[in-house]
Order: sequence, then structure tokens, then C-alpha cells
Amino acid sequence: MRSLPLFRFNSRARSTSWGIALCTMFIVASFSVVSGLRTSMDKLANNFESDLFLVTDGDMFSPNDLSSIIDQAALGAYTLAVAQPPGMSVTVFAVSDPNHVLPEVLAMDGNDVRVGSSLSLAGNITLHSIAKVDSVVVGKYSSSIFPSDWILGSQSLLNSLANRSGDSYNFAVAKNLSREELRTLEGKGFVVQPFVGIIQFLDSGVNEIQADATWVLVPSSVFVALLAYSYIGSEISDRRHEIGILKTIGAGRKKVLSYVLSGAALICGWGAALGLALGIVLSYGLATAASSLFTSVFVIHLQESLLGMSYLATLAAGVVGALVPALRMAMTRPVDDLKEAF
Amino acid sequence: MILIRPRVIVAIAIAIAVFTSSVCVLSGLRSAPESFVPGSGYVISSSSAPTVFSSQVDMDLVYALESMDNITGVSPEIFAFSSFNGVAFVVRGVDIEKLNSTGPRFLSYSIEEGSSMFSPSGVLLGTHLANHLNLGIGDTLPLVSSYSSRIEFLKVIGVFRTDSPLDDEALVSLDVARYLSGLPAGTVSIIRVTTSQAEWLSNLLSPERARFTLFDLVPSKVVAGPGEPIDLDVKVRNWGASSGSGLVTFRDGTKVLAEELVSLNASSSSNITERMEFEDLGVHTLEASISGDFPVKLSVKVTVVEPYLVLSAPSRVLVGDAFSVKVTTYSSAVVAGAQVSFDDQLLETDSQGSASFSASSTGTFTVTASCSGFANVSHELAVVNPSVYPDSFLPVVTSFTISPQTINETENATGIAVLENQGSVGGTFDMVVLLDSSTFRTIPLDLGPAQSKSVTILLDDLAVGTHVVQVGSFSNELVVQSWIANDQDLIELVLRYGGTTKFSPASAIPIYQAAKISEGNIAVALFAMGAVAAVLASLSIVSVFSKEIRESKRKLGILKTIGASSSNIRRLVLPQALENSLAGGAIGLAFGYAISDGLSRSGIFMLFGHTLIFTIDGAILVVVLLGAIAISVITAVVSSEIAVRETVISSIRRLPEDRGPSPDLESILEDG
Repeated sequence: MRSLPLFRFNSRARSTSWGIALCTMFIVASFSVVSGLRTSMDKLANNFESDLFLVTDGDMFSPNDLSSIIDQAALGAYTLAVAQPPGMSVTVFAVSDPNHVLPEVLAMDGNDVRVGSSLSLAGNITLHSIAKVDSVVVGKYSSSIFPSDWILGSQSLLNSLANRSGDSYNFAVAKNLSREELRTLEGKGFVVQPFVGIIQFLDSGVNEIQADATWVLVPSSVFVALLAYSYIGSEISDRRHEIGILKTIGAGRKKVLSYVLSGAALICGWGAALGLALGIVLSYGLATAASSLFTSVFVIHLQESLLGMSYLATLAAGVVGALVPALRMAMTRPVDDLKEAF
Repeated sequence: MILIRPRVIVAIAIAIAVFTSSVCVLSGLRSAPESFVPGSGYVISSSSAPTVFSSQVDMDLVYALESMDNITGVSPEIFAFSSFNGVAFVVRGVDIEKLNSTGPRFLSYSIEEGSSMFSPSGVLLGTHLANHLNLGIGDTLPLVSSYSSRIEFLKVIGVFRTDSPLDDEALVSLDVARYLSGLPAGTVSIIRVTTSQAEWLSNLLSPERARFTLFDLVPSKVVAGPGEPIDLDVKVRNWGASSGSGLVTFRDGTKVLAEELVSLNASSSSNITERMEFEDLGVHTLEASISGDFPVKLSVKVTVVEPYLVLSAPSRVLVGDAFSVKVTTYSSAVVAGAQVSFDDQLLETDSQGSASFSASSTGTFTVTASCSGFANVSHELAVVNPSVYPDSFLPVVTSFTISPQTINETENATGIAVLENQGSVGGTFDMVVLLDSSTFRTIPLDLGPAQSKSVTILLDDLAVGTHVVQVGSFSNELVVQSWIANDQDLIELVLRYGGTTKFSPASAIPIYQAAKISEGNIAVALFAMGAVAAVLASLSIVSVFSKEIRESKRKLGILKTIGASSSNIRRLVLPQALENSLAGGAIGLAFGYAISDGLSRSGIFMLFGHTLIFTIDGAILVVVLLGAIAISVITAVVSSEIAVRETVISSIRRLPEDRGPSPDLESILEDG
């Protein structure tokens, strides 16, 4: 069907589309600021490179549970114990690293232990956890990964202390995990923390900001809806006579509704397109102006998906806003429309 | 005559509510940095660090501040940043007692039975964070270090509520946070201070006049003979903003040894050396001090002893083996002709200060050296039977240390490894030094039966970064810094107090600079967003008024036809528009406030691990109120002008140009 020329691109349509464009520009500018923040954060995160990940699941697990990454993981177990003498609480740990994932070699046999460099234990000691194990301090260790107040033992010692049997671990240090491997591990219920925590902290922080920024859609959409409501309301008021004629000659409610809403979609679509262009210009303008005013500035970055989301949100808000006057118009009787118009 | 129907109040209220809540949210974003500084008071951070992430303040400042009358609370705190299960959070190292002195107050807390809030191996979780992480008392929280490959497993020993941003954080001991953040010993990220005299403290920390500090007090000898000269070296720095003089005093206990007046320009340093000698035997505590607002006192111990000998001998030899000893003075001069006794043998040292003995029977013996004018010296020597040692060559690394642990690019560090042969057969051992898991150096060492050796390893030509150096089962971290970091600000960091600190209100913590964004950028962006929100609200309201006037155009036309002037129309429309917009504005303000309060309470807005709390202070309330009134008045005036501009003709009848082209009825009927 050919579109009905009920709506014209008059001055009201122009001013409304500018208003809608302003709303879309607001959304685009907000999104680009956040995208810029993401870009800046990613650059910052690149300063802290790490290829190691701490893998835990809050409980014990077997090597089979990590079968997909077992060649790139060092497995470890720890338990809390009391060392006597002198009766102090310590963390006893063991590491199995046949693939040399860790940057250091930490291996013990039997019931011998090495104590961290900040502990002053020596000689024969008894470790008491779930079970008691007599042990001998054969020396000290220092490590770039594990705290200096822990005690390094063997896996069999850990099993004896915790009354466990077989290969069971409660943490792993994995190297060079791909996104797919990360997803697989998380899917199995493991918690994966990249070493150098600032990376995930910043990443998670930016995710929070991105989530916060989507709320910009709410006020902007409300304003777009109000503008569309007013515009369609005014247009209907002006064109009530023509709409009355259409109804008289057989146009149904659905058809009237579609005429009015397509008009709203048209004006919102045009306004949104204008807003996208203005938003892009404003974003870069803001970045440039801020660069000249302040010492450092974020890099504006626009994502196609966000532009698409801005456009669709504007369009949807406009159509929803126009729905109230459009429905009202579709429900009136033709005779009332013709009478009211004159 | 009603031209603008009261129903417009709904649309106006919606627009103003959206505007109000937008401004409240934006102001919340603006004050987000304050979440790193809960409670009242001020923050002392490093002036050279752009963010709290890298701020380092000397812990000594805490003790200096605590001794001042106007200071009501001092809390040293260390930030480490971690995440668990996709939730980012701040790990704050605190001294709980000192945290209590500055606040925020713990409104409620639950602690694991048998544990204490002061437990150094536990972690206290804020209520919000505990909920986000889904962890409770007794659970274990794995933590990774902020900037290096370190891990720690901490037991959750308590959950607390303060109704402050601390509720989104994990509290650990200063030591654990220092380990996780990699901060050097004796430093903290920030110091939160509460004071009754903010201006006084600000002036104290950011002085306009000269202010001095002392550092690097080093004696040329820590052990000396009577009358032997010792050079005491100390550096003094003016960290104030103008030049001046300071009096440096050297004391031995209460006795003043020397005084020196030092004149220095702003931000410049000087070296002072005082030569002194002591006749009294014993330990002397030598002190260098400078007075002022921040008096600095450094001390070092020097022991004055009778002239004594130094005996170098092995600590363990095999029975039947020969061994040699060497005798020197305390100042490393070779002593020829010294009497050295071992078992039943008595020998004199040769011109090289050496004497050779033979170990003929097992046991522990004392080797004694004596010489006229010097105190005797003894050394324990074990002569062991080779049969008690395994009949093989068993070299074992028994210790490994690195000094210093942080160097600048092109500088060297030294590693010292102790190698012990735990077998009765001598041999050659290739000691492998690993650097970041790769072989850095292989050192061949000859070890006799049961012999131990100390090996010095030069660590040079290292790239900038953090390296792991391993020898045997010992590994240590060595940090190589870029020279570019070694600027004046960094140098100031190592000073005791001065120049290291920046005094600022809580809101000025420049967290955003973590993303290379200045605070100004954010302020501009937030202001722009607020302004756009105001414009959009105005536009929407004008648009709604315009619709109302459009729908009342016939009434306007009639009024104009019967002679109503523009001012009459204005007088009729303006009060109605003003009344409706102010009423809508008032309702919108209330709703907007309620919406923002609801959003704030819901905790859905998060920023860097903290829930955004939209505190609507007086200034924001005034801005919002004025904005709403301005929007109401402006839109009312604009709508009255729209009404005035309605022409009489277009109001009462339709002109062809208003209607546009007629509908093509034929095509509609065909399609319909």
C-alpha cells in the first residue's frame, strides 16, 4: 500500500526530529565515553601482563576435573595446621608441577618440610591438622608466589594431615589459558582468577560502568517518548478531519493505527539518524576539547553495536510514545472526527 | 477559559522526575571517588602518584601525626585490588584499632567463635561484598596479588556493617595487604586523618616555608677500636617551597658531638659528614637530628671494642685432613706472628697471616688466635669422621638471599647462596642459577668432604620488570625499575616525610586517572550530560504544551476574533502554563528524588567494586530545584509565545496549505 500523505515534514516535524536527535546524541555520547573508558582501561591492563591463573572451586578436586588443561597446570593443596613446637598456626602446602608451569621448583618428599623464609621453625616438629604427622624441617624455601609464612611439604604429607587418600587438590596454577578454556573451567564451577589481580579488578570495574551506562537509555527514551507523544498528538489534532474521512470510506482501526505509528516511526527514524551523526561528532569534539583543556584524556571509541542499540532504542521509544494518541485516534468514531474537525 | 488541561502535569512530572534522577545519578558518579575514603576526615596520599593505586606514604608519618595534639584519628591503609568469581573488590589493609579512631563506626558485626577482629590471617567482609561473593564466616577467600604473581588464602572470620563504602570491601591486616599489593615495608597507600584543625594540617604537610628532613645516616664503621676515627654521614633535604637553614645536631646519647647549620634551596639536598672518635668501650648510639614541625631523628649503633683479631677458619673438616686458618685485625690488616692453637698444636702465622694444621682426631675443638695488643679470638671447629657422612658427593643449597631486592635498570644486585656438601666425598658441583625459569648462570664449585661454601652471584644486565631468581629450592624476587621512574618525585618517596604527601579532602582522590582520565574530563562530561538532560526535559515539556495549545487553537481563534490582543493571550496562557509546570515540577522533583533514592538503595549502580550512593546534599538539591523551576518557567513562557503566534485564520479554519495534499482515496479503496 502506498503511504498515506497524512504527515508532512513541516516545522513541527523538523523541531521534533531535532529534539529526538538530541536525545539520541545524548545516548551515543554516553556510550562512546564508556567505550573510551573501556579502551583506556584495556591499555592500562596491558601494562600488567600475566599468563598465570589461580584456579579454585572452594573444595577438593581431582586431576581429572582439570583434564582439559592438565598439561598447562600445576596442582596444589593446602591445609591449616598447628606446628608444635612452638604451637603456632601455619598453612601447609604442596605443589605438583611436572610441566614446569611455575617459575620456580617447589618439591618435597616424604614427611620432610621446608619452612618459609619468615618462619623460624627448625628440627623435628609435629604438624597437627585432622591428623598428627611428625615431620623434620630440612631447610627453608622462598617463593615469588607463595607467602613466606607457609610450610612446604609433599602431597603425601598433606594427605596424611587431612586424612585423605589419592590425588586431590584444592588449587591449581594454570598457564596461558584461552578464552575457551576459561569458559570451560567456569562452566565446571571453577573460579579462575588471573594473577596480577588489578587486571580483573579494572576489567570488572569497567563492566560495572558499562552496565551503569545502559541506564542512560531510560531518561533519553522517556524524553523521546514524550516528544513523539506531543508530535503525534498535535498532528492528529490538525489532521483529524482527513483521518475521519479515511475511516468513513472504510479504513479500519488497524490501518489508522499503522498510519499514525508509521508517521511516528518515520520522524523518530530520521531524528535518530541525525542524532547518531551528531553524537559521533559530539563525542570526538568532546574528546578533542578535553584534550586541549586537560593533560590526559580518554580515547573516544564508538562501537557499531552501541550505535545500533541507540538507534533502535530511540525508534522504539518514539513508537511507544506515539501509541497513546494513536490508539485514542483509532478508537474514535468517524462522525466525531468529522464533527470535531469542523 | 482553560487552554492547557491539567493532565499535562503528568507529562511534566515525568520529564522533571527523569531530569532530577539523572542529575542525582550524575552527582553520584562525581562523588564516586569518595567511596575509597569512607567516613569523614582527610586523606594523605603520595603527591607523585597519580592514583590511589600507586600511592606510597611513609608509615613514620603515622607515628609523627599521632603525637600531635590537633590530630584526633590516624588510620594507615593499604589498597590491594582483587576479584573473585567475576566480582571486583577492594582489599583494604587496616590496623583495626587505628581504623576505629577515624571511623566509619562498625554498626554491627559477627565474628567466628574463637577469632578476633585483629586476627592477621583472617579477612573481614563487608555485608554487601559477602552477599556479592556469596561467602560467609568460615569460608576461604583465595586472593591474588594486585601487581605480581602472589597468592594468599584467607579464612573469612567475620562480616561487618558500617553503612559506608567499607561494606563493599574486604578488610585484612596491613601485612597481608602489603604482601598482596607489593608495597615496600614501612609504607602504606594512604593515611586517613581526622583533625580538629584542617587548615593547620594542610599547611603542615604542604609548607610554603623551608622544611627539612634527614635520611641515609651511615657510619663508615660499625665496629671500631678506641680512638679510631669514624665518619658519620647523613643527608639532609629541604622539602619546603622556599630556601632556608636548618641545624643538624649529632649526639652520642645525650652528649652533643657536633652541630652544623645547613642552608638549602627549595627541593634540594646536601650531604653532611662528621668525623668522630671514641675512647669508651661499648655500644654508642649515635644520633643525627633536626628540629621543626616534623622533627626527624635518625640513629645508628657503633660498637667500640678493644683491638681484636679476626680468625678465618673452616667450621668442619674431616679427620686426617689438613686445613689452614688466617688471622687479620678487625680492620682487615694481615697479622703475621700471631699465635694460633688447635688441639695440642701451637703455630705462628706467616707473613700472609696463615697457619696450617692437621686434624688427627674427631671432636669439636676451639681454634684460638692471640697477638700482643689485641684481644684473643676463638673459633669452633668440628673434626668429623667421614664414615658418618654418606659415601658420596651430596651438594645442597642451604640458603639464598638477594640484596638489594629492588634496583634500577643497569644497576646490579648480588645474590649469596650457601652450598653445603652433606657427603664425605668431595667433588665439583655446577650450581645453576635460574632467572625466570631459564638458566642465567652456571657456577662450577669444588667442594671438599662435608665442606660448605658461600657463593656470591652477580645479577647484572637485567631487563626492567620483576624477575624470579632461583638457586636450589630457594627463589627470590628481584625488581628492576626503569630509570624513567627515578625522577625527583620518586626520590622524594624514599624520604622520611617531606614531599611524599598530598593532603586532600576525600572527594579529591583521583581514581579516574587510573584510566588516564583527569578529574576535569569527568567533571566536564558529567556537567554536559546534566545540561543535556535539562535541555531535553525543557524540550519535552514545551512539546507537550505545544500540543495542548494546538488542541485549543479554536478557543484561541475565537478569542482573537473577538479582539483579544497578544498580551491578553499571553496573560491567559502564561499563568496556566506556569501553574501546571510548577505543579508538575514539584511532583516530578519528589518522584525523581524517590527514584534516585530507590536506585541508590537497590545497589544496582556499581563503580570499581563500590556501590554508588547518591547522597543528595544541599548543593545538589539547590541545583535540581533551580533547574526544575527554570525549566518550568522557561517552558511556560515559550508555550505562551506559541499561543500568541497562532494566527487567527489558521486557528478557526483550515487553509489548503495547512492540510497538505489530499488523500488519494482511489488508491486507498483499491488497497483496502
